[in-house]
Amino acid sequence: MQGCPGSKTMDFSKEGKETTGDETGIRQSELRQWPIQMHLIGPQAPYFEKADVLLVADCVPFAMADFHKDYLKGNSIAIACPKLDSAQEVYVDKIAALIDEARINTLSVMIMQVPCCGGLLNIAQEGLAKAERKIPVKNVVVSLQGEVLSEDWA
Amino acid sequence: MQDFMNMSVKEVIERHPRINELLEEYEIACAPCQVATCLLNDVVTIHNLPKKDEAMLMFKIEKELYPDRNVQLKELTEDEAGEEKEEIKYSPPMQQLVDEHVYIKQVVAYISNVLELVAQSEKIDKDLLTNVIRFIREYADKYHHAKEEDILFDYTDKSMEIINVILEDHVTGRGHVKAAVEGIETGNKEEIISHLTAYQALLTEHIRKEDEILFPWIDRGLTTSQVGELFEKFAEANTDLGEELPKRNLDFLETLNELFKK
Repeated sequence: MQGCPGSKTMDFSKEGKETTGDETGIRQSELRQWPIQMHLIGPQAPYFEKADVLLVADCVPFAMADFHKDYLKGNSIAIACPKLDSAQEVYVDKIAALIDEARINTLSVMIMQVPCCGGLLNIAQEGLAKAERKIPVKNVVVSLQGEVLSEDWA
Repeated sequence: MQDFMNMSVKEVIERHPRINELLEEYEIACAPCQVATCLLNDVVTIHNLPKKDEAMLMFKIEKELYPDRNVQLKELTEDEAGEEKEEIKYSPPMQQLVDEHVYIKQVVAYISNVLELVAQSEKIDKDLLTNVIRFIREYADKYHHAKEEDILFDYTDKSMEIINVILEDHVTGRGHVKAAVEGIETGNKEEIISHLTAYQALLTEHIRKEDEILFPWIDRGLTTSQVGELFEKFAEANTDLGEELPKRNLDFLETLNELFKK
């Protein structure tokens, strides 16, 4: 028995990694809203109006070193954990409201490669099915060490 | 070499016919294109070959153009060398256009059956021909090509020759349809047959170019936000035309399916 890949203990600290490029200076956060947790956000918030929205699994921004620069910049965000969060049916309604009421432009679902994370894409698709409008939905899968494994339109 | 790369593929092939064979080895079929004014450089890059194939093709082209030159094969990184040809995946708005192509290709294929009837019958079936023309004008042109011309191409560099080639195909197609309509009105079988046959050949090649080359190339240049914009604009364009137009034309496709069921 291998156990659940989502909670299996792994240590990456001894793996030799080298950062390339300039690491000096102070970067600005690309976050342009608050709150961000799915239970706390309101689809009527002005920063969702016609926005490109990221629906991000909680662990993704920790794994991806350049999350702010490569994904968050210019987008609005909601975060959630499909494994641990309760009352996820609320999430489906909120996504449908983001699509129909906030008339968001696109939804990019960013998940970790562990199997349980796929639940977040299912939630997004249920929300899309419930909405009257249709929008493009993208699925980005991130490895445990922050590489983008795939980026496809769902 | 750069002079040749910035020359139209038609001109390069005229001067060096073997280049066409080299392109065909990599499934780059410029010969059937009736325009072929794309630059050789664009032709190679737009096809998005795996890096090792692109390097080998460029090596062979340079060898052909300069047989006495000591041409070197471009060195590739390990990742580039291992790259395989990927299955084409379209963004949702582009997939919508590809899905519409499926219906257009079916009707275009039935043109052969329709023209067989025209050739065999003493009197032409005006209703059938008029419905084929209506499908072409309403569904292929007004519903589908309009989305490309009025919306999609604004997201490209319109000065690129490949866009001109595609637009020229649309204009040529409309010319064939106009001439076929004149043939239907006057009962001139030859005119109907020659222009609809030419339209069939043109559209078949045109759709192949769009599905396999143009749309994947445009998709590679679109941001996520632009994909969303395109999707919304396509939906608005479809709403403006109403549900009746695609419905009556897809119903006609069903009629053709019944009529020519094998």
